[in-house]
Amino acid sequence: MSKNYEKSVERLHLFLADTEGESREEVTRGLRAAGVDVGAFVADIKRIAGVRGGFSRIGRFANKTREEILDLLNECQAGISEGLFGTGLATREDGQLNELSDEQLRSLLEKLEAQRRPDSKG
Amino acid sequence: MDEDAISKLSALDWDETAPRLLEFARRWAANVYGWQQGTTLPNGMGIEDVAKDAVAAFATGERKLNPRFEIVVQLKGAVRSILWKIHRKSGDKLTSAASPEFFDAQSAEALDPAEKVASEDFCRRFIERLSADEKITSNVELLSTVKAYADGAESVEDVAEKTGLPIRRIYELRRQLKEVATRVLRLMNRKETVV
Repeated sequence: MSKNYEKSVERLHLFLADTEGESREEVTRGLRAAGVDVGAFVADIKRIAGVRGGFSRIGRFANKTREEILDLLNECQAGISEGLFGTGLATREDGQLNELSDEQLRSLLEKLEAQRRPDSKG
Repeated sequence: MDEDAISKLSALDWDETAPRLLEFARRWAANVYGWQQGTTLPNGMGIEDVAKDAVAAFATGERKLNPRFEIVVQLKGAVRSILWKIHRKSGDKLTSAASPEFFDAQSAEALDPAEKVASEDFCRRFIERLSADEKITSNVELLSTVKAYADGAESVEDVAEKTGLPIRRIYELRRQLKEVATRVLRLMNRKETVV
């Protein structure tokens, strides 16, 4: 069977360009040494991945602390009124919210954001 | 905007993914197109712009996410596609070895048959020269790694199976192999430019 050299070169280049096997710290250190403002770049990417579709907050939730998520939930709750009651979620008291896992809180926040989205400028 | 794509993109761990995507773009541009740190691409873009455009392409719906592939793999494909198009438009012959077939199978800008033959020939000569390079032939681990790719290895796991080398060792060899590959590719392109 004849060799597919294009594929071979493509896979070799993919291996050479990949960062698998290197820690995030190593990759970040290398970028910083090359003069890249990694923090600003990551922030830009997050904005592109989130803001443009109207999910401006959801993209940031993964890195939010529990306290920050609770604050956002309170903020959402204040910003939305009737729509939330249909979800059955907005009636939770703070004490009940604290019983939810971080994942459940993020999920709740996403639902509230979805409710807000039509009126939100994002 | 593609809300489904946005939903999937926003779920990624960007603190982990973004630096890796940027580093991939930098390495791909350097290894395949001879880009050098501190310079812009032929169209004036920076490498960071390429990575951002790759993400934006999916976020805006310009590119569709394919559920059959990992999102990160598709983002890398978008980076390759953008770089390829930038260099293709610039008329840079280096692109003959860099057709992003995976990503652009649906694109109307696929290589024509003559370009395909030239690209295949270029890649054959690249593999041959790489395999014959003194630094490669004098190091059995590097040589076996190059041969594994030449023989159709599709992943590091495949290389490990074909060579008997531990995966960690293969990653350690990457830097040396990259230096030789870059030098060989640069030499080939310089000669072809002269011709």
